[in-house]
Amino acid sequence: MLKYIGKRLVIALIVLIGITIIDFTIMTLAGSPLEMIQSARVSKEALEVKEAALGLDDPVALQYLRWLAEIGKGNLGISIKSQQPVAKMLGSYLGPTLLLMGTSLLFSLIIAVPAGIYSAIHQNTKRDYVVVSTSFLGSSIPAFFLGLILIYLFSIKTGWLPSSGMRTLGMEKSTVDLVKHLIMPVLVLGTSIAGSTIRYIRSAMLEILKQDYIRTAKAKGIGRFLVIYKHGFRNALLSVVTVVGMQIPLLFGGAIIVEQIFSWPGLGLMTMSAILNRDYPVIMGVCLLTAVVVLLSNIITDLVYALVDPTIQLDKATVENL
Amino acid sequence: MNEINSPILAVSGLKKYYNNSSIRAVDDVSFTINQGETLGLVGESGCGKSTIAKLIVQLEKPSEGKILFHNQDLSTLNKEDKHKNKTKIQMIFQDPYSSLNPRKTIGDAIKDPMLYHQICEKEEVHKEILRLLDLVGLPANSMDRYPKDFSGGQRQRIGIARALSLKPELLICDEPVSALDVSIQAQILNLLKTIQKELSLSMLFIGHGLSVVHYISDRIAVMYQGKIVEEADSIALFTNPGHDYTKTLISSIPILDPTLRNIRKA
Amino acid sequence: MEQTSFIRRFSRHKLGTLSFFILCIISFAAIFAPVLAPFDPNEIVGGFGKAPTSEFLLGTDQVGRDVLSRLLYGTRISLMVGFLATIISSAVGIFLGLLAGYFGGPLDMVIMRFTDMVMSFPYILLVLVAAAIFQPGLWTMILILGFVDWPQMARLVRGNVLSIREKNYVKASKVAGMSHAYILFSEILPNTVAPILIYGTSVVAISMLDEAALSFLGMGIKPPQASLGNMLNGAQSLSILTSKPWLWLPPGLMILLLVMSVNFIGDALRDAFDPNQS
Repeated sequence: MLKYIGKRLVIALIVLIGITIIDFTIMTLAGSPLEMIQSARVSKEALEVKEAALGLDDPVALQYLRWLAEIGKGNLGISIKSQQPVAKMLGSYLGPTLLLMGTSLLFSLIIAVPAGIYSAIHQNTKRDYVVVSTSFLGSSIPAFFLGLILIYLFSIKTGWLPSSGMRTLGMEKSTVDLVKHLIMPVLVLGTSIAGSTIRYIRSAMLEILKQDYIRTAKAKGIGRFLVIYKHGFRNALLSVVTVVGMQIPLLFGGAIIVEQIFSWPGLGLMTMSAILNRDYPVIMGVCLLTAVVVLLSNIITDLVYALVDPTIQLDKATVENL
Repeated sequence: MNEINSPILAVSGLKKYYNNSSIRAVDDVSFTINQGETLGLVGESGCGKSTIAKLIVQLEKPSEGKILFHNQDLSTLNKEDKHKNKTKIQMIFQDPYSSLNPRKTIGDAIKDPMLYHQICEKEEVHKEILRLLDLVGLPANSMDRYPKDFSGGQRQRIGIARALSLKPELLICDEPVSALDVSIQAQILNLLKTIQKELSLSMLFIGHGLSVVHYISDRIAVMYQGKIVEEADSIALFTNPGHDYTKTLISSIPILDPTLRNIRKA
Repeated sequence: MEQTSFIRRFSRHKLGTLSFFILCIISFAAIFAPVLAPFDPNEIVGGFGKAPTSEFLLGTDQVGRDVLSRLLYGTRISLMVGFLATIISSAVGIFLGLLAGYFGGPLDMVIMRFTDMVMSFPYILLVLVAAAIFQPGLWTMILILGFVDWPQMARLVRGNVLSIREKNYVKASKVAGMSHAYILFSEILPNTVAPILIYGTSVVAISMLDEAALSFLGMGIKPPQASLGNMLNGAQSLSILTSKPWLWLPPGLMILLLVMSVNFIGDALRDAFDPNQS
């Protein structure tokens, strides 16, 4: 087991270095970040001095190695735009994003797990079709369009919910205020992933229902409800674990758009402005952070999988059929 | 049976290990097949007999040992000679349902390899396929149909036609009838027997029951846990079994087969 | 015979069939936009932000262009991005998946690690970075989406190849000494068409959503060229959102309709290909 985790971590590290190389190359292709602060007031000479000071005139490979060496020391660099340490920026924006992502994931699971199971139990009935069709609606509606509709309905028409930000300015910090700000972003982000989750849970549940032990249990006369929830539970848990693992990269991506619509002060908003300003250290920091989270969640998914279902071999020794 | 002929296939010291030698599928096996002879290879499932088939047709690489075809080690040939020799050993598979591409007509499945190896001219290929289909007892209109239209036995006939299309010298039959109904088994066995005689093919016939293997083979090798434990003339094996496992195999044959019953009584 | 039963199974999926016809109609309208559109989409033809009238069926936008004409041209862009990006990403994914699955070994290892790399990247982030770097525009957008969206396809194809590789008909081809190219493209690929098509529909849907999102964020198709996403961009301002719904509702609904149709068609294909459904 430990050997397996070690092996996975080594592979993840290699993948991670690969990702950062790709990122770095793509970004340097874009041109100098200093073009963005160039203006009539800043002389060309001053820019060149600054360029040299930042090491931007060195070859890309050297720049990358320097960046990597700093990462090794735990230093993510300093933002070109705001002059703040990237680590500190990530730290302060990460919280709101995790809050948004976590709540959205929870919200989508609360809807999708029961809906998926319900749909599977009533396979090929009207109720099943309604659930599946609704799930397609959920995954087809563009996040920003849903966001606009919600703002139109709940902020403009009724004034029930604030349309942007995380807290009302000038108000004391309160949970109620935070929750009010959180509702619409979570609805949008949650909906976009609930659709595919419903269908995944449904098909996983259908597989489980087909299995022999469920049939046996039914034949033994255990109540339908008990059969599904007791015997199928462990297996259903597996599909939930898988789905959570699959959704994490999507959540990150979705958060960027949702934060933009609702001006949610998270990583997404910060990333967008960093991209527009070609603020490399910040973009690299975000890429590194998200890649680490995604890779770790992949590994954790597999481990949880193995814990929930001990029959899964971690290191599959493929014995060809003799 | 003709011992004077040089062997068409000579296998010596063949070994195939999996998982760092923890599984010894084939463990030091040697045998020869003479020109025009059918060697039967019998043993329980998992004893390594199918692995031997895969090793001979080079679907897998041996861990150790040599396979000589016409006194030539096929694995050491250069690319061009390898390509030339590829058609000379063909195989018939156990499961007729997965041995035909569901998205290909029977005609195409037979035609493509023939044209690829330039076995016959493009203009002749249609006629040749019809001849092959007729040889294995299938109607001419099978050509434009898909595998799903055929039964297991018919599919096995198609498999035989496809193998024969490349004009092989050695035919490896890996349990070709064990997936079929008993009534069909006899038809396919007879077909193989006739074709073997007519084309004077050499054959390695693999099976898990002695009665089937005995019916078609000149000589029989008995395999047990990766090794050949006994090898004898087809009739001698029954009259004078040497190994305990062979005796078990013989006693497990239902005494419906009159020839075997007589042998066993004797 | 095989085809008729396929159509029969497809048409049993009512929403899928309906979606198919809707998509046909929309595609027709989009293809013939130059003929059907009442005005030049980029020309100022009326007052600023006027409500729908008999002349401007969907009103005019902030600078006085006809919304209906822009909607038609925008739909054209969406469909183009959706299908072309899918073709590119499918080609890349199928190619890499076939190689990885068929040859296995170190090649498989390298391809799959590379796939992991691209996959463990929040995909919209990659697109945003790429869009910020290269000149935004229609073809950049198609290429970016095409080269980002292939990993799932590669995995899907690889998985299929791994199972088909073990089929006897592939082994028979190997024993017959057929070339790798023949085995890959004539034996294996035709048997992975169904999953490729089904997954392909969802890539079309995702690509259209991404185009819209990027253009909405101002990182995609730039005005004056119309796209469904950038038509919605204006609705970020409160006055448009509150008082000029004809500016943002039609493009939003159009994206929804397009994406949903494609998704339902994918679902119907899944049913039609499923051998368990008689």
